[in-house]
Amino acid sequence: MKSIAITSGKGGVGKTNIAVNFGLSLAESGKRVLLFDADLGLANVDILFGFTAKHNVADVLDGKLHLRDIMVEASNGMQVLPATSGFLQLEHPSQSELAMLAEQMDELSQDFDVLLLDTGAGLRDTVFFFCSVAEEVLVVATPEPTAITDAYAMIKILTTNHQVQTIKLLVNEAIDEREARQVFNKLANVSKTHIDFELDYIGWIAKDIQLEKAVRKRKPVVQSYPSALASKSFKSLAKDFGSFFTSPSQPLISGFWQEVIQQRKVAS
Amino acid sequence: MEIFEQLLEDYAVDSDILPSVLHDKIFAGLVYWADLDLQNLELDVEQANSSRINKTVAMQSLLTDLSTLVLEDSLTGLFNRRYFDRALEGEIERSARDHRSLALAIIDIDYFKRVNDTWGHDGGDEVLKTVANIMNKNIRQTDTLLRIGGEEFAVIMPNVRYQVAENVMERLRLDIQDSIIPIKNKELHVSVSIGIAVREPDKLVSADELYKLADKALYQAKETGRNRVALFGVPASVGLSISEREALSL
Repeated sequence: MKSIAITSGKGGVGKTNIAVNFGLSLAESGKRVLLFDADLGLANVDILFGFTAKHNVADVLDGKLHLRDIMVEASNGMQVLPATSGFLQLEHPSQSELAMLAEQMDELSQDFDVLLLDTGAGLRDTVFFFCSVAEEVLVVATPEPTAITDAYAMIKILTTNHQVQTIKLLVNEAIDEREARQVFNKLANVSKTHIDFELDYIGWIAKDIQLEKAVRKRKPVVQSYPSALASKSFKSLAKDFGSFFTSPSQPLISGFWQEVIQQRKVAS
Repeated sequence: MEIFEQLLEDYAVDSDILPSVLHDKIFAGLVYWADLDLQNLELDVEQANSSRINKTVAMQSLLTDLSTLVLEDSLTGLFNRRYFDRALEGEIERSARDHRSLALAIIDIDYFKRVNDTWGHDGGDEVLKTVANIMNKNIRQTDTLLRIGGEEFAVIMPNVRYQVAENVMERLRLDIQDSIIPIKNKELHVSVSIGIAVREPDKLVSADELYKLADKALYQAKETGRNRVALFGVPASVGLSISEREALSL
């Protein structure tokens, strides 16, 4: 199971939309996709889909259920692990709670090809955790100046403080490929010169009014407007999936985190 | 809402002529007040002349008085907690519809109990009034300032993200810190702690949740030493150097 964390420095750049539509496009291309709404406490994947989940990750943290029990099928066989909105205790889960979630996701790895972790934005431990356990990190930025600055800040923090080795940039809401490349070049240059980090480029999603309409309809754009520009962007991204994510899959809890958990278990 | 619609109909008040803010205030007031004593309202309107205009004017002034009574804090003249709940919900709906952000700040006077203990409730009231005035000077025209508890205030800032919200609140905090409050021939200084939460345009956050997040930030501001502004969910760019910022803005 290939795990990919989707994050951004700034909120409101379309992370959840990207996770949902990218996930659905991958599912359509035959991949078995699991989407985890990792923006715990402020989750909204369910809202984009228009479903209300009966159980969510709060039940898992309570120890009542396994992640397996809260899975909801969205469509095309894509499964969603819903979180919850408005539970403040979920805003700041402990490291051991996060590790438990990651361990349970690893237990599902036989059943899925791709795990998408839709993390929140900003400097939060939950975001750092999911980005550091995932094999791949996808940072989303838009051409808006604050989104670029915050994306760089996130790249800097993830690589310097949280053991993240590779990051791929996805440019959302770009007018064309040229604009998307400009955003990438700026971020790649500053990353190179200031923190000696090589940023990768994965692609771009077209700015598209249909996407907003789809959100209001509570039906993902790839399903409600399959021929929209944004939908085409998602499909081409899914098509190129194999060429971007070539490294062999690893469990979430491995290396650094395995040691941390091991130490904790010994300590307790 | 039915009571309100019915009253408008009974007294032939055209709801279009009421400014929408007033409309909102009146509605919230009526819901509260109508339960208490609907008879009084009818009597007062009966007293008005029978022409439609007079009825309307009578109704309007009555309702204005009513909403003032019910939705304003008599000490500071600010909107009160009852109005806050409704206003925040309204602003959240509006920001969701317009795809805009919304910031909420909760402001608490530090060590207010000490003020009350030392200067009595008169002194406390004086501090509340002065602080409310200073705050009112520092917010922008589009912001709404309310007194939502004993020494707790809130500012609702539509279409505002962290940077602006923080700037406005930082200015307000400094102004309060630097102000002298004269009480019983003494000069008193107070400070405030402020928590800010922002609803990003694509996030579905309820009024209750936003309030809790701002309150959590306020708690953080108190915990880390008071007389400061704390943000919930700080944006990532806080720790960047000037050269990094410059390189990114080229």
